[in-house]
Amino acid sequence: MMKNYKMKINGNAYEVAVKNIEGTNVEVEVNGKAYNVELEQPAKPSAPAVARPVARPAASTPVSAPSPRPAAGAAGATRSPLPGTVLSIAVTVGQAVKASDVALVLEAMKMENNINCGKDGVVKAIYVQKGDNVLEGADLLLIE
Amino acid sequence: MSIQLQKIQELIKKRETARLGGGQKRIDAQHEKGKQTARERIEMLVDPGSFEEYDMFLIHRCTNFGTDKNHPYGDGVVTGSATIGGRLVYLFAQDFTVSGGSLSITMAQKICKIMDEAMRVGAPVIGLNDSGGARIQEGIASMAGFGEIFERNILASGVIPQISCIMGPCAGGSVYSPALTDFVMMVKNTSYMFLTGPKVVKEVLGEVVDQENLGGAMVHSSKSGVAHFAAENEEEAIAMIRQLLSYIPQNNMEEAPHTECNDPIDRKEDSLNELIPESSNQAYDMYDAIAAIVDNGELFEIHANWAKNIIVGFARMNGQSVGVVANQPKVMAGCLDSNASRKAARFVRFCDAFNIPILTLVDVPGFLPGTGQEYNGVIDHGAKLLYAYGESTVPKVTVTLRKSYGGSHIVMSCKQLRGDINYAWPSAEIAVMGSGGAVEVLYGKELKAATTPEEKAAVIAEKKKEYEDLFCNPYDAAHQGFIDDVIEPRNTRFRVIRALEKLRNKRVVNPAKKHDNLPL
Repeated sequence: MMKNYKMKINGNAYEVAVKNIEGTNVEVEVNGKAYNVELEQPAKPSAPAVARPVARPAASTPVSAPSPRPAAGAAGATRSPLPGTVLSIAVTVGQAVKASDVALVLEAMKMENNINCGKDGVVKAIYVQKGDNVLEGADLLLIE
Repeated sequence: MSIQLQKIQELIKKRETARLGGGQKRIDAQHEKGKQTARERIEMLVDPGSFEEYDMFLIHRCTNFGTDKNHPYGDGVVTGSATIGGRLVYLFAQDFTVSGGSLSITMAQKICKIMDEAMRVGAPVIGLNDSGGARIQEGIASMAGFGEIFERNILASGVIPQISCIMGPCAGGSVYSPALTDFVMMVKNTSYMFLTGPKVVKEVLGEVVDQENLGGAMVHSSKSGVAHFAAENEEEAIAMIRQLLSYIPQNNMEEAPHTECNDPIDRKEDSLNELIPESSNQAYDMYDAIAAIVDNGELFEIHANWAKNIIVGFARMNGQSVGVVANQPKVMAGCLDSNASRKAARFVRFCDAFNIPILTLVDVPGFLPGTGQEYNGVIDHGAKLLYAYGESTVPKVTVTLRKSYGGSHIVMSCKQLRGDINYAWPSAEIAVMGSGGAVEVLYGKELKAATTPEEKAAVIAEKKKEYEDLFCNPYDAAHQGFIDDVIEPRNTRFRVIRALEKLRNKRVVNPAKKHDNLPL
């Protein structure tokens, strides 16, 4: 029994293959890399198993890489400097911004952190929504 | 003309030849690139007329590849001693107009000579680097030259201050001499440092990158941290070297020069009473706090563009040079991560090696979590800062402005790491962890028992308040003697100056050992 899924999270593409389910143990493959995950409850043959594994590859990178960066969706995107929760988004797609403008507020490390746009230009895309949890290095928005 | 006069004439002529280096044509080429010659740089750097050159007439002894046909005086480097602000320094400046400033064993011999003398008399060494790398015609002899210099860099480390200023290319083995010194300065657009250049990178990896993006001043001062300073141009770089020297002593047996202080030591700074925002999760700018506390608001910042979540630099308190280490809540919540730990650790160790007291201003929510950090070895990097504080024996004064949580509280010069005098503002939150996390651990059962989300939220809010009232303040630490006093923010300048005054003759000796083994 093998099921394939394609999904996009924060602009990153993931190909997930659910290979085998035995009780609460599930073998999955995400972008070609194998993971063994455990479900909280034995799964009905449907597919809640993918809920967890997709969260992991976003953070995990090959151990050999010196500075881990999740697969970047877009070159030159403004990235999150630290892991946290998006509290509010101050810009909209199509808006002209300056590098020092606040793009969004990220709650992390007991603080509300202003994340600046990082460069002058026009907001082309916003990859996150209010309430999203983002990881260090995750793409937040694209400014060109 | 008498024979003696002729001989003097001959000397004057030889000097003129030596001063021309690689000749007028190459000097012009150097100027066209926006670069000064070695001698022009020295002239800018030192007190007028103070430079005494050594080994002006030294020539190389290589015979390979036709090199025996040309013996330029000085062989591509200008070395000697001078004064800067009246204080003795030794310096070398590589001369790009002679064989591209490439390093021969003869050049190394000259550099080693001034380093040896600097060590004997206890004076700083300044290197102005502008070199194409090894002199390939000399074969392995050139490598021996590098090795001799590196060994002296190592032996001089912690004995005399060593400053490197990269004013042109610095590639391959050449990079390791600057890397071993205390401070590296780079000039924007004209200098670069890398172990392997863009050509090799392309051959081996297929990656296309230019010199500036591989090892330019901005890369090393903001991404890698290899360079402590990036200067707009050579003039600014030279001015920065002079300023840096004013904060540091001649050697590890002396104190940094004292200057007259015209900023009142008991200046009350009311703005500090209002600096901390009402809400504890709002940011403020730590530079405002530093400016209000130190003499004339002047901070000579190091690594200003790298790991900005921590601020390090030199300032003065009542005219005495101090090293300031401060978390910056405005950047990444002021958390400690791998780079911030490395940056601060190196600075603390420099201060300790050269008898410069350390003022630590704390507002740290914790270590940055996540796989990015853990894979990067944040445990080891954090341990470096912890180690640096714990081993240092210079006077250490710590002021906790706001957050100081858990492991990061210990790292930031706490009392148990032999922090001498530790103050806290009334806004301080010195606790083992934040209220959110703590409530989940302490009241896990109660939270599970809650049936509706509203009920759960109510329990969390109540327990968080209870925890915050108990621990998120300076008094739990003060009750236990881990904080020496809770002070009014506006009095901070005076309290810190008085603390440093008390600690002036502090004597602490670490156990005898061959050397330490900090987690590198």
